[in-house]
Order: sequence, then structure tokens, then C-alpha cells
Amino acid sequence: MDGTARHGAVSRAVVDQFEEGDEIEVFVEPNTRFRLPEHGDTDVIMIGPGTGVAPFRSFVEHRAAQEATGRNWLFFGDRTFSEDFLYQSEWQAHLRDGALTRIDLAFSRDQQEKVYVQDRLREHAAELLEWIEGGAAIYVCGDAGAMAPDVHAALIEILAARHDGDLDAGATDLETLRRERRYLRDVY
Amino acid sequence: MADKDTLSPVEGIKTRSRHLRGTLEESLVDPVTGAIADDDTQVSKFHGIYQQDDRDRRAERQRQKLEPAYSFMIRGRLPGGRCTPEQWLAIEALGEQYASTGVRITTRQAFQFHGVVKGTLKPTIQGIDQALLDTIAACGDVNRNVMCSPNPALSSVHREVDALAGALSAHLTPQTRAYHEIWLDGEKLTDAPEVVEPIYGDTYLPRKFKTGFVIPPQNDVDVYTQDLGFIAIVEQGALIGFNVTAGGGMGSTHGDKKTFPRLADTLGFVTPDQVLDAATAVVTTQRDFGNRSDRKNARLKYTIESMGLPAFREQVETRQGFAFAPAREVQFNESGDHLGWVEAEDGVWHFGLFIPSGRVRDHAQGPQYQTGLIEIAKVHQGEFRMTPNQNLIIAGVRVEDKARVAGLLAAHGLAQPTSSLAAGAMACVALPTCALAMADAERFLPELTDEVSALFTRHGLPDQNLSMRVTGCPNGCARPFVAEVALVGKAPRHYNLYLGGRHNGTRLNKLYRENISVERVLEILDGLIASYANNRREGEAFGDFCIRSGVIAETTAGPNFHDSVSDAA
Repeated sequence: MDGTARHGAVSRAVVDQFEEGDEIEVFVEPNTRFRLPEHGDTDVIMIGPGTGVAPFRSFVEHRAAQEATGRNWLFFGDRTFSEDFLYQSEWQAHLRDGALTRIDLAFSRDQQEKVYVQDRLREHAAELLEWIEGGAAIYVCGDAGAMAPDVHAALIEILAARHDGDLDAGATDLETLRRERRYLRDVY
Repeated sequence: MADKDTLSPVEGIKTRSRHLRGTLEESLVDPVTGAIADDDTQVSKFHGIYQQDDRDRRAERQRQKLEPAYSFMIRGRLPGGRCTPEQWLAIEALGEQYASTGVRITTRQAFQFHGVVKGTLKPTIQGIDQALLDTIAACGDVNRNVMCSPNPALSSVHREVDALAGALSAHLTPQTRAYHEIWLDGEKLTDAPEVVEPIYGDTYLPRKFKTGFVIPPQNDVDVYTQDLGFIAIVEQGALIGFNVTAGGGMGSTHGDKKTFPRLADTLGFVTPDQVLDAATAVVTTQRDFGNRSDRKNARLKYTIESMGLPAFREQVETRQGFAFAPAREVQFNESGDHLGWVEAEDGVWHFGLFIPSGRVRDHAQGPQYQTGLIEIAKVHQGEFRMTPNQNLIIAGVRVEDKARVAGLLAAHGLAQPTSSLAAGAMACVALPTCALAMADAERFLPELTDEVSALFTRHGLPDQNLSMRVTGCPNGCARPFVAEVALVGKAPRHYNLYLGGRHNGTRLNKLYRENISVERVLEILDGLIASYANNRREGEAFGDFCIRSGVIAETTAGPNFHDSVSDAA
């Protein structure tokens, strides 16, 4: 990439230290709360740029298998459309057969100005608010350092619109959603 | 006329497209895919735009759960291949900015960009528009780019013929406003005319339609491979009219003997002022009588075969309102380009620049076509003409500028090709961008011409010329079926080998061996060239020798193209 060799953190370790046939220890880091809503008719908003998109593949497949009637909305972002649209052909298939209701994309390097998922959230504020007021659950997965706080801030702004832009009120609303297990995060 | 129930699906797409709009506007802004909607891939062709994908990366992309690496080819409409130096610079700049592989000169005297991503289609077309050019009808079921011999020494005749080519191109350009609305943000008029397409009708033609004007004795335009041809008849240095030819076409399908390449028939003679009416009559006859159920049987050549030539001629004469005069005598010497310096009758010079497969790029440690032509364009006072063999003519060089142009050519290593064989050989684009290619053509040609040139040298015939063409599939975009030696792709590194064409484009070749490896092709040619060296008559062409010595039977007409093919094939 960009002329320099890059290596994945885990994949590099596996390649360097292990050989085919070796046994390695793998630990599952449990997150008992990051689960789909109990009821299949609840709408689901998934915000998962980069590797954060991983759990949402199974979310969407599971909901389709369960014939859940709730709608699914995915926000995905990465560097470039042409190389980094993770699981693109799967998302296209899900859109075609209705398992995925909507997808909004943000590829940061595809235009002059950087565009991220939080920008897409703000663009669709009104409709997101509608989904939330209809009972939707929000899931955020991915980078804890910059993405999660930026998304958190954007969600507060969106909720603040119910209170004439009062950010404190918006933050309170978001905290309420969290306690109601309608705002769940798996960030790292 | 075709039974409505069995119309090809493409007819329905054209009908529903509202005169070539389709859902292109929506497709362009869909962010989830780099492709346009399936039906739009037929509609976009009429706009000169072809959806493609990088076939070298298909398997890898699929493994990565990414869609194919879609990109688009954009082809210009450039009657007679002419452009000004300013337009050349504009085309060059657009190619540099938006096309992954720069500018490519085509076998129909047009320019082409590959690798344009969907999001940049509009800016590219707008850039082309700003250069006072367009891409309308460069592909699709319409009259394609009108060809015209680019380099005759008769400048005044060329001017007249070229003007007619331009006039006919304009006359046969679709009139729908779709192009302006979609690409140029044109206003959607509330008062659309009742008849949008007076010549084409609502579903355009049954298939592609290729027109060419040729000025003998050079048959660079390969006029007998065109659906509609105009052969300039010149007496005492003046243009008196044209022989009109109809029903040529290269395309066929492997293994389908109902498809075949065909050379055009000569209908008769017309005067220059009759050209537009004659052309319209041929086009509308094809519009009304062409097969709209089976696209493999839809070209004008099949329409003439099924109507019979007399009935076809009668239809055309009725529609044009006059009878064809008897055809005049015509002589063609060869179908390649005239390369190097040529002095025209009015004292200006033309330089035919060989550009391998029309790819205008700088070769590392080699000829700098891209930079060299930019530098020449900056000082050139004449025009550029793209040739029917994917080369470029620097036309209208005044004698006082000749040394400077020659100096620039030399400074950028733009020498002549290594051999006559290489100079005249032609290949289509094929891999990695063409979806139809079964084997390489453009990427393979240098290797092939080197090997075959070496064979001739080995057998004591250095720099022997013969017409040799390679295509990735039997659609025949590089006009292989009139060549003395042709390779048509069947599978990677495997080709059908055809022999027996004539180097002035007046005889079809015939299948010699099917689906053989490159190594086997060279083995066979080695043997044939050895025999040719020992047994040829004085001045006998390779294609003629192959027929006379019984190596291959002669194809006398399209319908017998598949006959008398050896069992060993």
C-alpha cells in the first residue's frame, strides 16, 4: 500500500510464528449486551466503518433468516470505494433481496474533503430521528479512539433537534437510550 | 418485419429508454456500485460509453467479496478522424486526468478512453464537449463513426470527400436530447418534437452500422468491410462522384455457420449531391427490413442476403428517388496506412506516424508518443487525422515547418516501425478491458509480429510484407477476415488461424486451423513461409500463394466462408 509493505496485526503474528497444523489458543472477548433486539419488528441502525462492519454481517443475515420485519440501516465508511468497500457484493445482494433496507457510505479519500460516517449521520438527521422515535436500536462498532466519540457527538446533535438544539437535552436522551439498551457499542 | 412477440430483448430496452435516456441519471448517482443498471448498459452505448471491468482482477475481486472492478470506455465521434492540435491537447489532457491508460486511437479513426470510473463520466464528457467534440453514436445500434481516407496526396479531393463524410455523420447523428440532458445538464424541453428521430425511428437500427468514404488507390478504410461505402471516383484530379457499396461486415460467432463475414456489393454510382439521399435510403431500408429478433442475424449483410441484392437495390432506389448509374472502375493497391512523409498536390506535407495499436503513451526507454505528440501539437499549424489502422497523420505541414516537425519526431524517438509487417499489422484492444475477448490481441501483437518477421528473415525474405491481424474474438473489430493471415481468439494463448485474404481488402480469408496454441501457429507459419519462399511466383502475395498452392481454398463470398474448410482444421 502506498509503496510500503504493510502487515495486519493478527495475520502477521500468525504467519510469522505459526505453521500449518500448529494449535493456537484463541479467546473470545464476550460482549453479552451487543445483541440484536429481542423483537424482530424493531428497526436497527448499524454504524460500522472499517473493521467495525464485521458483526453487522451476521446481524443482517440473522434478521433475514428470522424473517424479521424490522428495517435495517447500515452506515459504512472506509478509505476508498474501489478497494475498501468491505463485503460489497454481500451488501448489494442484501439490498436486492430486502434484507438490508438502506446503506449510506463514506469513503474518506474519494474526494477532496474527508467524509466520514458521522457526516452521513448528520445528513440524514431527520430520518434517523424518525427511526429512533419509532423504537429503533442503534449499534456502533469499530474504532474507539476517534470514530466512536465523533459518532456519539453526532447522535447527540441529532437528538438535540427534538429540544430546539439543546445539546444537554440531546445527551440526556442518548443516555436514556443507552440504559434502555437501544444504544449499544462494541468499540476497540 | 419481425414478429413483435419474438423481438430481441434489446428492442424492448430501446423502446422503454425514452429515446436513449433509460435510468442513466439514477445509475450515475447510485453510490453502492461502480456499475450502471443492466438495461442502461445497452442505452449507454448510444452515448459512446461502454461498461467494462478489469478481467485480470475478476477472480481476486470475487474472493474479496468486492464487485468487479467496473470502469467505462468512452469513444469519441470524429468523422474522418480529424481534429485540430488544440482538440488533440484537450483529448490528451482528459485522457491523462480521467482514463487509466490515456488515449487509444481506434480502428474507426476515433479516440477512446479506458478505465474511466462512473463518478468521472460526466466531467469527462463535459470536457469533450468543451473541446467541441462529442461521443454520440460512437457505439450502439446506429451509424457509427464515419470513416474517411485520411492521407491522400490529392488535397482538394480529400477536402471535398471529408466534408461529405462530416455532413453525413451529422445527418445520421441521433437527434434525441438525451445526451445533452444527461451529460451536459441540458434543459429538459417541455415541448419535445413529435417525431424525435426522423431517420432512425423510436428503436433505432437493428444493429451497428458502419460507413466509410475511401479515396483509391489506398483502401485504408477497408471499404468492403463497411455496411455502407462510398468509393471516390476522381477524373483529372476532380471528384466526380462515388461508387456506393453496401453489406460488408466482419462479425461472426465461433461455431455458428449461419454467421459469416461478408464483403460489400457495389450498388452503382452517385454524384456528390446524391450522397446524403443514397445513405439515408440504405439506412432506412436496414431500419425497416433488418432482423430485430436475432441480433446475430441483424447486420445489413444478412438483410441483403435474405432479401437478395436486386430487391435490396430496388428498395434503396425507390427510397432515394433515383436509379444508381453504372459503377465506375476502381483499383485498390493495399489496405494499410501510408506511413512517413507524403507530399500533397498543393505543396503541404503529411507525416503518417506509426503508433503501435494506437496507444498514445511514453515507452520507458522507447518512443515517447504521448509527450512527442503534445510537443508537436503545440507548434503544429495543420491538423491531426486518426487513421483506420490506429495510427496518426500529422497533416498539412507547411514546407517551412517540415524540419521542425521532423526534429520533434526524432527527439522523441518516434521512428518508423521495425518492419513492414509490424507497420501494417493490426489488433483490437481485447484483454484486459473488453468483455468479449477470449484471448489477447493488442498485448500479443508485438510478440507475434516479431516472431513472424523473424521467420521471413530466416527464410531469406527480410522485411516481407503481408497483412496480418489479430482479434480477441470473432466480432472482428480489427477487420481480421480480409487479412492474408489472421488470428482470432478462442481461449487464452489459443487462436483460430485464417489464411488467404488479399492485402488490398478485396477477398475474405478462410479458416485453416481451429483453436491452436501460439506455438503451433508459429510452427505452421514457419512451414508456409518456407514453401512461399521456395515456390512463389515473382511478385506473388502470400495470400494469393496460399490459394494457388492449395493450402487454403478461396472464399468467394460471405456465404461460402465456412465451405471447403479442411478436415484437419
